[in-house]
Amino acid sequence: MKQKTDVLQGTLALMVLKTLDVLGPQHGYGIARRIEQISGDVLAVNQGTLYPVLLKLEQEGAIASDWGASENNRRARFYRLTREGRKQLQAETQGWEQTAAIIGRFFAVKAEDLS
Amino acid sequence: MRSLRRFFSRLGNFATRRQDDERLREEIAEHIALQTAENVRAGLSPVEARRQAMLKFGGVEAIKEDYRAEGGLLLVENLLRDLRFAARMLRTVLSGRSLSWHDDKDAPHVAVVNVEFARRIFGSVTSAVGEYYKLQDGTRIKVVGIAEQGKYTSLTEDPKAAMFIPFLQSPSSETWMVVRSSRDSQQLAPAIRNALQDLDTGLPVYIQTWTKELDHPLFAPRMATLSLGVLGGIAAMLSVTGIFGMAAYSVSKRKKELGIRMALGAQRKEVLQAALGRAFNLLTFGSATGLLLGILASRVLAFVVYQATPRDPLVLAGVVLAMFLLGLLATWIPARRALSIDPMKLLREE
Repeated sequence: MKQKTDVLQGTLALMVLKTLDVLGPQHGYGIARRIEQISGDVLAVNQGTLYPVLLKLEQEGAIASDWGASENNRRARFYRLTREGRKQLQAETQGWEQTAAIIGRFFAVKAEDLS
Repeated sequence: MRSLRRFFSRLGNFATRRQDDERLREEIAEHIALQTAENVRAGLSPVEARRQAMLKFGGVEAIKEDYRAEGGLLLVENLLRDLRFAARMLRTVLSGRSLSWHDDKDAPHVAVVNVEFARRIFGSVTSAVGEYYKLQDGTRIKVVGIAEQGKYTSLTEDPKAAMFIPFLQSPSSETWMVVRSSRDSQQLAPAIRNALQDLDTGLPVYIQTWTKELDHPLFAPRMATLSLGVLGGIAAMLSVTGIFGMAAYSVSKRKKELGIRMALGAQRKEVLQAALGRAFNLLTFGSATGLLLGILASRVLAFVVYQATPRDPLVLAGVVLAMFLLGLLATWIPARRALSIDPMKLLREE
């Protein structure tokens, strides 16, 4: 159980960073919407789980936040990527691509390739 | 680097926990409002739109717990098993109940938290009892009581958040027990050792008296007090010799003038004023400056010496009195010398 949430948190964090990188400052709802749109129903998590992740990222200095006005014209917290966050995103993107490539190669391997 | 930064940010954020809670509440409210509006646009009735939005958001309480866990519980976890103080603390539970033998591994996880914990995580002491929080490993713990604030690592520390959890729910390979007895510790130690060896001959036992145990946290303040005392003594000596030197010099240099003043009928008070007025002015000015700086440096001092504060009227009065006595001591002899000037003798000599 714990491992699953850990993995989920890690990927969610990366998705948050990428979303902010592509779209610029967003409030929590905007980020949740975007992640949902892109991942479809595959990522069936409650939108609320995003907020602990946002707090964690903010504490790490990867994102920063300020109050702003939402589409409803009420106060909403807007998150934006910091320079450190951009670096982190780059590093993690690379990591993910590497991992994906390695796993991909393992899946592609057939018995005759190894003989 | 990242984890270090996170640690400091947590330290900082820890203080603003209540604002964090407030902020999260506001963020959630706005999130659900936005989602509701979106759902309404999609054709749902307002009530249904809101219901759907909340469903999609998930359990608010669970999120809040995760949020709190993210925000700062790491800091208290190292105090988790430090049971040395628990025995004392848990006897006086301020509200709720204390831990009991019924809180075993089959029972729901519970904890008694201290005042600081309750204040930081839940906003106030009264609202904490009955609330839940989460450890980093995901364990959900119910707060059943509030313990009074204690000192956990040093005497001068700022209030720290601490939680006390039942041993039966979090067994550990080592534990501390506090034994209270009116008997001599010399006799008591073997008795304790025997009792524990009877339980299990393989048990390693380490026995320490309460006063010996206190030596460790007290070492730093003791040394600081000692060295500050020595430094203060040296400073006092320096100032006495300095003031004495200056006053004596001023008297000896102005002997002639003083003699003339006396010959012209100056009173003792006027002679003293002429001879030592400058010294007194400097002394007053220096003392006032020192006092002010001392008060400003109180934070540093309070960090080193337990319960040290210059705002204590007794301390303040003591300092002023000590300065006065030092000044008196330093100017006594020059003053006597100034008063003992004999104009006739002076005239004959010069």
